[in-house]
This record gives sequence, structure tokens and C-alpha cells, in this order.
Amino acid sequence: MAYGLNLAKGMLTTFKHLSRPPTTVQFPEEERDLGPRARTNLVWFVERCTGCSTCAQACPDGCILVETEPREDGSYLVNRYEIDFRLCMYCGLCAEACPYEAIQVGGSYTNVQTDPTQLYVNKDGLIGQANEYLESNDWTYPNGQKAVEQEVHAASERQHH
Amino acid sequence: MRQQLLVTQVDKVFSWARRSSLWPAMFGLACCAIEMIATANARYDLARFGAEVFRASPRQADMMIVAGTVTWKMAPAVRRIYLQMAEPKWVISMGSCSNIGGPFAHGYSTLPGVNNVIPVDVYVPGCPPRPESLLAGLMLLQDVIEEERELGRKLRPEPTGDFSSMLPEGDPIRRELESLFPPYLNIDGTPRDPLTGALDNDENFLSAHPGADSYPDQQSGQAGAR
Repeated sequence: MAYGLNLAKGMLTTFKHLSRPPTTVQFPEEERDLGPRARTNLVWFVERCTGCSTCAQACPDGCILVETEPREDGSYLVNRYEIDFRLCMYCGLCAEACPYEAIQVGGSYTNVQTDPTQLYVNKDGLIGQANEYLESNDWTYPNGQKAVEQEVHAASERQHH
Repeated sequence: MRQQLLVTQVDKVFSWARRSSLWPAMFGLACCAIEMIATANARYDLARFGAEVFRASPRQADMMIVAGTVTWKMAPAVRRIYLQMAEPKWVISMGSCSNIGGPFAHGYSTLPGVNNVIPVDVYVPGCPPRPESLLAGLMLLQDVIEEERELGRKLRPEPTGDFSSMLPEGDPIRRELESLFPPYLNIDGTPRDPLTGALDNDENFLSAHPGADSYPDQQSGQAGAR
């Protein structure tokens, strides 16, 4: 008698789950909403960066490289800005340290590679990733602020001179 | 001509079968293993890609997900498990630690990239990677398998087996690692039987390498008691 009762209890749980919607996220087709502190790729926005290297000093792994040179008007031209995503532990300390929120967490999380050297991204690669991010996110930064499209393009152009 | 056509068609079927049932070897080393388990669970459901059967034995596995920090002490075991897997076999390096050493890259105890020990097909960045990242890596690996069929060779580079720049001379772990690379020689230089050699048998290895289970004495350099 007790055996049958326990079996019925178990089946009741099974039947409860039958009517529920499936929990599986069909990943490549649909993606889950990311949490505000999700540990995704870093995005670097050249139009906000002043070249102060606070991010590089805050990085515990030392995976950010910044090299600058002064312009005539006193601002800095960022000659090199490189992130080694093989080394990065996605802690977001650089994004926390940056006074202008030029480096932000919230980029892509599917940049898998067959060649590990592709994970070392230089300045042009980072500008490309940032522009791609802004274009696909309605010109909004990960922190919710709106970007001005002309400024972004002007800043990207300005880097080459 | 007809034979060649048949072979290519059979190859296509083989490649399809291989990439749609990649059984992973159960090999979680650190926190990445938690994300690997999450990927196998209902929310992300690795079974949709035919890769849900985590095998406890490398003999039954097609793919190894190196999930986590590989220390020098673990490195011979990683290599040995890789060698025990049956061909064809693929490796996914999951997380910054196994990609290049991650936060421990400048440390003394961690392997600077698991590609120094085993050939790696796909690198998944993250610390730890999200389950979606691992799924993206798996899909990339499926593309790699199809590409390898078209090319007729493996795309990944093989590790050299040269640890002279990383470990000191006479290090027991270095000796053990070097014995796990071709030409699989014994310590006296005699070739080892590739089928029954010390690759999957610790006792054979210890009899061929006296003192390999103990660290050398600081003064005399002789192997001492542990």
C-alpha cells in the first residue's frame, strides 16, 4: 500500500512538470538577457578615452597595454590600446576604475577562436568591436548612455592621423 | 573514380556522425567545470548538440573539455588522458586558465596554456566562460571537424614537447612529461612498446624512472624520500 502511495506522489510531481513550459534556451536562435554584472567581453570606446591608463594600472593581470603621445592641444593621442583576452579574467576592475567609462563590460561572449593569437586584440580591432556593438545596440553604451553617431565616427577617423 | 566518389560520400557520413555525437571526457579541473555542468543541464542543454554523455572513461570519449587551471602536477595526467582517448579526438580549451594560464600566467605552478601539452582545436575565452560561450565553442568545433574532412588533415598544431624553457633539468614532472611525447623512449633510450608502454600504466613508468615519485634533494641532487 505504502509503495503505491509513494509511486503516486512521484508521478504527481512528474505531472506537475508536464504542464510547465520548457526551461531550455535555444541558444544560437534565442539568447538570455544578461544580468547587469555579467562577466562578458570588455568594450573600449575610443571617443570617450583620454589615454590616462587608469585601466591598465587597475588590471590585476596586466592584460591592458596603453601607449600615448601628447597632441598639440594638450590632449593625448592613444597610439596603442591592446587587450589580451586570453589573459583577461573579466573582473571588470578596469571598467570600475575608468573615470570616463571609456572601457565598459557588456560586449560579446561568443568570440571563440581556433587560433589563440586572435584573442589578443589591438586598437583597430577594439574600435571595430565597439562600433559593431554600438551599431547593433541602437547607439547606446552598455551603461545606458546614448552615443552620438557622428562623434564616434569622427573619433575613429581621428585615430588614424 | 567511382571508388573515390564512394569514399568521399562515406567520409561525409562519418564526419556528420562525428560532429553530431561528440562525447566529452569528464574532466573538470576548476571553476570552469561548474559552467560546464551548467551547460549540460536543462537550461542550456548540451544534448541538443549530441554532446551530453559525459564519459567517465577517456576510452569512450571523442572530445576533451579542459575546463580550468592546469597545474604542472596535473599536466602529465592531462597528457595521459588525452593519449588514452581513441582517435579521432578533439580538445576544447575552456577558460583563460587553460588558454594561457589566466590570472596565474605569471606564477610558478601553472601551465602557460594547455596547448603546451596537448593539441587544442578551439579556445573559449572567459573566466569562467558563460555556458553560451561553451556552446559557441562546440559549434565552432563542429565546423572545424567538417573543415578537416574537406582538407583531409587536422588544423590544430601539435605541441613540441620541449619543456626546457619552463622546467629545470631533472625535474620529475618534466621527465614524466617528456616520456609522454614521441618517440616515447624509456629512460635508458630504448624504445617503448607503443601499445603496452608506460603511457597508461604508472607502475611501468615508475620502474623505468627510479625516484620519479620523489623530489630531488637540494644539496646532493639525489632523489630522496618524500
